[in-house]
Amino acid sequence: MKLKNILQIKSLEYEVDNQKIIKANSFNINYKEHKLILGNSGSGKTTLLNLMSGLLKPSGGEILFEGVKYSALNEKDLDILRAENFGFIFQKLNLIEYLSVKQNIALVNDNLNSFNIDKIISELGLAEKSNQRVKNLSFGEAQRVAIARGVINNPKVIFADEPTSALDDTNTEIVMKMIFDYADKNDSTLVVCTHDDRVKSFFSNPMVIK
Amino acid sequence: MSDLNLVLLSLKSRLSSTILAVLLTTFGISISIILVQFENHIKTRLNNDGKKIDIVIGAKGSPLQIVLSSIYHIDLPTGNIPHSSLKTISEDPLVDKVIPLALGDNWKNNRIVGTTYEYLEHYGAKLDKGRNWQKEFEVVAGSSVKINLNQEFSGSHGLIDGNNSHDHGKYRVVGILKPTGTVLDRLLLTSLKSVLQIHGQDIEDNEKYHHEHDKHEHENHEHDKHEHEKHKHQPNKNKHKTDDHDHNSEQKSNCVNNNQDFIEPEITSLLITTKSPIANINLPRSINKQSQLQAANPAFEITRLSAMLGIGSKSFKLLSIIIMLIAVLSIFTGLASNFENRLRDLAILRAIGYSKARVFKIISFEGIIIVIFGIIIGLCSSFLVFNLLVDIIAPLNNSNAKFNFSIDIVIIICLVFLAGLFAAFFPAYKGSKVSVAKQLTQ
Repeated sequence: MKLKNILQIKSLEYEVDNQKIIKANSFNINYKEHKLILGNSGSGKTTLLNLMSGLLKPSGGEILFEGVKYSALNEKDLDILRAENFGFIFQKLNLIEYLSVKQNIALVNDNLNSFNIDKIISELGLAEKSNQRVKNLSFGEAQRVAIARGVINNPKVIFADEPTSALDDTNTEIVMKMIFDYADKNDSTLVVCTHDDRVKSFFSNPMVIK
Repeated sequence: MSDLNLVLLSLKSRLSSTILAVLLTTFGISISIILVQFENHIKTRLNNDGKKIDIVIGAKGSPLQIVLSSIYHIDLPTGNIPHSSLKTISEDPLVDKVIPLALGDNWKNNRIVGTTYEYLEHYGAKLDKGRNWQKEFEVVAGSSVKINLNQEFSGSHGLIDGNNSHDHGKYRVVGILKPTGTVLDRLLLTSLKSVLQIHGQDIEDNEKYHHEHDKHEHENHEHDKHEHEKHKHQPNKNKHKTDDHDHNSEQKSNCVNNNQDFIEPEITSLLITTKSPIANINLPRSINKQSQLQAANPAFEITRLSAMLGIGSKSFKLLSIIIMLIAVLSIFTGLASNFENRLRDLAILRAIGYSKARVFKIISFEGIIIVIFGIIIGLCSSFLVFNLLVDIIAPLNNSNAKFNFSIDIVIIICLVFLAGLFAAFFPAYKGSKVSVAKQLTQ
């Protein structure tokens, strides 16, 4: 029987220096769901996202991906799980500056088809800059590269951290539309963390953390 | 994207520090290899050329100079010794074999050596073309002498090219030797008589002279005996002794007068193989007591020379170790510089699913690639520089110095490789332990 929930978060806790940073009630995220986690700066949104994606280990509670507990996996298996199932769009883009547009996207998977990379670059309007180093791109262009890298591997879950924080209204709409389009096209679950209220309108049932 | 591609792009992004690290590795490895090559060459030549020569006898002077000039042909002889010493030394019961050498001339910096066939036999020389010398002014050339069979030439006086040539006596090449890997390869060999003749000396006159001289000595001896018997019955011994002395002097004077144009022929040195190791100690002692001769023990002299050269060679070795250490440090700093910036890139890789081991491998690869490039360029440059030095430095050229891929090179390569790995290990370890979430949110 196929599970309804792709991610299950159970009584999650995260401490730093004996100080609780996160204490979350249990919640689930369904397959193909678009989940918005809203919260002010410093509320722990990014930490929650990192916990859900396995980049951080929780101090308490449990996270399950497709029924598999993260705590049951060793570090190597968790790396594999992340590589095969998750896509990331980071707030600070986190592109490797000395690599070109194409090379940054190709980092995700050794077996990526060059045709698919060119196709997504073209769809994002970066065809002419495909071989340019990302450090020479504008912020908007670099953000599109970060989106391409996050979705190229057809991930089951796309985690996006503050994807629109540095954008104006027009670009916020363009970027959110792009992310949604790719998530829908690939049947990906989308988890977006932001403090940006403008994004709220794209989601039906935002989860607010304090 | 493959890891190798990523590593190459990363190195390219830090091109100047990468080039510096590669160059330092190259310098370190080149200097070490060249030093090893020189050391091996010198060792091999010292061993091959000095094989089974226990004592060298020459004119009074520096024993090391005698050894270098007579065995290795890289220095000037200390002087000449009488040809008659050949006979005297040969008759010594401690001596197994004596090879006489007469030096003095050269052809285009290749020494012309007057000797006997035993010299060829000693080094196991075999003819490649032609035949051995049979009469005067016939020459057999070593394999690396640039001369043709049947070519005629005049020797230049002295052991360095450019002096007056002996146009009155032309040598002819009648044979060319196969390479022996010894000093013979760069010599022009002929009979002792040829070299002496060209300098106006004759062994036959000498033999005749010594024969006459010995005859007179014998007659004197008989005369003394007779007189002694006779004077046994005479009281005034002193008187007769004086007469006797005078008589002897007269006899000897007659002998010299009969050969007043005669000049005792001289040769340069004698290479001696003794019958027992103890003779290597005793024989030089007794020979050195004679005023004209100087015996040198090659093993002792070469050990002394090696000890002297060792100081220089040790300094170079130390220098190459220092350069190697700098190379290792440069690999380390190349990988560790801007490490804080790099940590973010490594965290990105970790976030998108690169395992710790893979990140470790990628950083180690960077060190390995620097080392591999350094080793390849270092090997090529050491080969080129060594050959260039051989072309420039005459003694190396003359002694047929050749680049050899010995086990020492393999050891140097392995050591450099390990040093490079070691230099890459710390940044690789630190990189693999990067805290992903912390780096990406900073």
